[in-house]
Amino acid sequence: METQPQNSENTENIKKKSIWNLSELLKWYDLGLLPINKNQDIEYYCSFLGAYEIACNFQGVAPLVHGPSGCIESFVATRPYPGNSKKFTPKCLSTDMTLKDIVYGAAGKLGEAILKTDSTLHPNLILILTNCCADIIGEDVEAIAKKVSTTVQADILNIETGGCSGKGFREGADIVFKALFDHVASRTTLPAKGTDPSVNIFTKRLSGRPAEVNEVNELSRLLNKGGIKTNTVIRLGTEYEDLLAIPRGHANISLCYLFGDEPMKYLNTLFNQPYIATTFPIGLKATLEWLGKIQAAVGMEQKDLRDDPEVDRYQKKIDAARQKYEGREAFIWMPGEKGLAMARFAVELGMKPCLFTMSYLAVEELQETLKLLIKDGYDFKTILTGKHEFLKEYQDMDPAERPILFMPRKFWTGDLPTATINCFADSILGLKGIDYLLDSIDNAVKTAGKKDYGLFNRYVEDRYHAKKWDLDGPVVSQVRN
Amino acid sequence: MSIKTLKPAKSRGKKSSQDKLKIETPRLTSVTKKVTKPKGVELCNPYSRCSLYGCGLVAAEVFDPDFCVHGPQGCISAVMEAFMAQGKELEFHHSGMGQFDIIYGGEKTLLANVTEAFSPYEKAGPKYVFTSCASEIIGDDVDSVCNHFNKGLPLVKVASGGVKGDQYHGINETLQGLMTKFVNHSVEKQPKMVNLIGCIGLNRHWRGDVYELVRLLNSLGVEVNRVACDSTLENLKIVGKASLTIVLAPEVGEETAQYLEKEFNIPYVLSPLFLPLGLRGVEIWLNEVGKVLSIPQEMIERLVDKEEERVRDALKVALIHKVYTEKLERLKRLPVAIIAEGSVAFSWARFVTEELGMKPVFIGLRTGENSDALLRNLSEWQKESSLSPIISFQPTVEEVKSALLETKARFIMGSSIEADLGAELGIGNFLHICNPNTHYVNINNSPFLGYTGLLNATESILNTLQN
Repeated sequence: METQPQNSENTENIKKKSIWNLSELLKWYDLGLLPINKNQDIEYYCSFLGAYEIACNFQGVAPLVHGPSGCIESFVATRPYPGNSKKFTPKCLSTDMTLKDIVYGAAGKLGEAILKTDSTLHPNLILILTNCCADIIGEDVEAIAKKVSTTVQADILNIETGGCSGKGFREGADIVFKALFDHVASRTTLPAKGTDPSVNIFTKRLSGRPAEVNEVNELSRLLNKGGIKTNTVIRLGTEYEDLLAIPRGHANISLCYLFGDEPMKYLNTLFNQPYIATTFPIGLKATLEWLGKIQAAVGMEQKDLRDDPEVDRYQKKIDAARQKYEGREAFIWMPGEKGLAMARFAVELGMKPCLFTMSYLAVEELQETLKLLIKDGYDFKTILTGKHEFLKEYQDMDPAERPILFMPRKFWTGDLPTATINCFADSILGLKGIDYLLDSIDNAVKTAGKKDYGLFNRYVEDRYHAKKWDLDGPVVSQVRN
Repeated sequence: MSIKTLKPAKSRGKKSSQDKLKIETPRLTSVTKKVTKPKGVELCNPYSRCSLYGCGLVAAEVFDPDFCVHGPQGCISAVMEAFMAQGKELEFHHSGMGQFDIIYGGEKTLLANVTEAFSPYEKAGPKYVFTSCASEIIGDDVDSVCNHFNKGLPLVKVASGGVKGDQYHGINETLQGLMTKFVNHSVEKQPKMVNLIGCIGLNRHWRGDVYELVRLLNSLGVEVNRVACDSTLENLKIVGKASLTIVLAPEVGEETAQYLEKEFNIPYVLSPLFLPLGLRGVEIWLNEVGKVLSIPQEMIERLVDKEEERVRDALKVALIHKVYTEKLERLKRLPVAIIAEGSVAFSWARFVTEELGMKPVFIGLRTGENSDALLRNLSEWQKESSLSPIISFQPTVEEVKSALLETKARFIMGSSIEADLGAELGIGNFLHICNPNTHYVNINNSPFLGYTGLLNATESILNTLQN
């Protein structure tokens, strides 16, 4: 167990730094020793918003929120993105609860809203989501939905998703998927699968990213190369009919394992569809493994692509990069599964990765992915506290020799060579993604120690203005200061 | 064309300064086609934001802030959006209320959270505690939690939450909270100092507008204290020194101005034509301020003449240019639809009619349905201009779309919502005058108000004109 920082002479740093391997963190998690505070952790964001993000994805499905409209208007799912494949912007539908509704209830408003949604938008399905207010005052949504169901054309589903339920956004998303899959099951009979193997691709919870179109195209291309067709893609703008087509796929795959794990398991139960337990295909090795696992899942003989000219070309690029970066430390400052997948790519380049964005709760949330990685031999080092002090230890090194920092935007004000990789906008999956990643790393090293003239590569944080407040008395009365 | 100038605004009560004026003016006349909204539930109102969004708009403007939302985690998204809209970095906490807190009360959770944030508190700005729907409904005594904290700490409690109101409610409540907490009572009045409350976060030009108006007031020897516009705690502490509070739009800050009038005996003005937009708008606004501060009329006239000369000089430069001439020709009687907050929409309607020669055919007013001042202004303007546009209060997006089609508008002034509608309907001429904004970045603080703003606005309108 690595419990001490590298620079053990500096007692100040000993107090501030903690560096562990993933397997150690997992073991402590199993023993219940990690001080997880779910309610305070951003990894446990609002269940309503997680649910709403998924509910907003489908054309023909109207997500009607029973609660104040404020919960949806400031919300990113209601924004169109340039990468939105269908140019689809979800409608923000809500019953716009006010204080009066809190006092007297808003059953009538909800009934009217359902009727209006049906008559004006003509959806196939109305998905009623509740937020905190409706949940707290105990609105009987089911009774209202049942009452109006005979007079509307659309099917109605209602789900309790209030943020104060404390379930977290991932569970919120899972709940909506489960309801939608049940609906699909009720609307379709299990079809005979075609002879050509095909898969359903689930993108990410927050769909419609600028990079998404390119990434889905790239992965579909690679699947096709491996003899697999794409049955349907579940993302922002997916049409209702495509949702109903899910049972026709031979297997399910998700770009993000954590996002897809629960929905994939449920689809397996409903439609007997296998799913692929693997995370983002970043890098050559991961992409080939990803494809191989999918081929196995759909019952195909795994086609060896190592002789494929394109794969050969990328192997040469990886080998060349390995020559340059073998043994170099890679600091991965990218959250969630993308960070883990990036660390795996760093290993492919012969680098020594260290994760900078793990938290106690992330260990719990990402535990299945961590187990997969550890099983494959990727027991990454991870730093939990003392990150800035750790980075400062490299100030005296030759800039070109310093560790390479991987982060979405260079907010670190030190001088480590930084590969800026923004998963929101940069397409990094599959084979084509390798080009972008290698370019970013090469550029980081090439410009190391030089003034960075790129306007958008780096910004300076101005948040730290330590001020001492002179107080007469304790900070909190009746509580020891 | 002339529009009557109403008397200087100076209020005593809770109502708007202009609402008090006892001038017999007709309500909306028969020439106005006022759209009556259909009764029933509204499904989709993208103009409305959570009250917490409004709180964030103000919180972001006092240097080095920190906030804690007492509610479930998701509620911080509204405050975060506000900080992004204002282009400010944010530091935040939340109590992360869960089911346990809903059942047993969340006061302990909040106390623990704020205690941690204050141990120690190293930010230079206020620490806001915003309530949410959940904490308001279950009736957590947030005031008593806040009372535990040392009065020397910059803790500001604001009752917010979506069920309490929209973004305007949040803006006004937060301003009020800041005033109550920080304004120093024992300060000497400065006869030539004013507080200026801009259109905080209502549009992407608002900060530039404030700086331009500061420039103009400085030219008259007036010292300006910017309230919640790139401010620090010092700006709030000296609010009581001012001899006048200037409010630009009744939607933002009028309640605060009334509070300052009551508690600190500081009168306030709100220009009869609302925003200082266009030649007339600025002139009337300067005169209003000048009267209260006893600035010699000649001094104001000199400034107006000098600035007008600058504007006219800039506008004449390209008159012989073919492109310029063509654009001016195209502008004449161009049917324009304007959708914004009540005071903002009116100000633009007057400006583009009287000073640019355009023809408003639809005015969508997102606020102000009960404002006598707004109704009176609209009525006066219609009489003077002989125009009878469709006027709709709190229109839905569908109603705006129908009106755009019905009126055959060829230019739209509004938010990103109308920009999208324009793109859908093939109306290519668009000017962004109010939020929400999902189309434009805002790097330079270029104004639309004041004389510099007039030039910017005119240039933007002409440059957006397409064949």
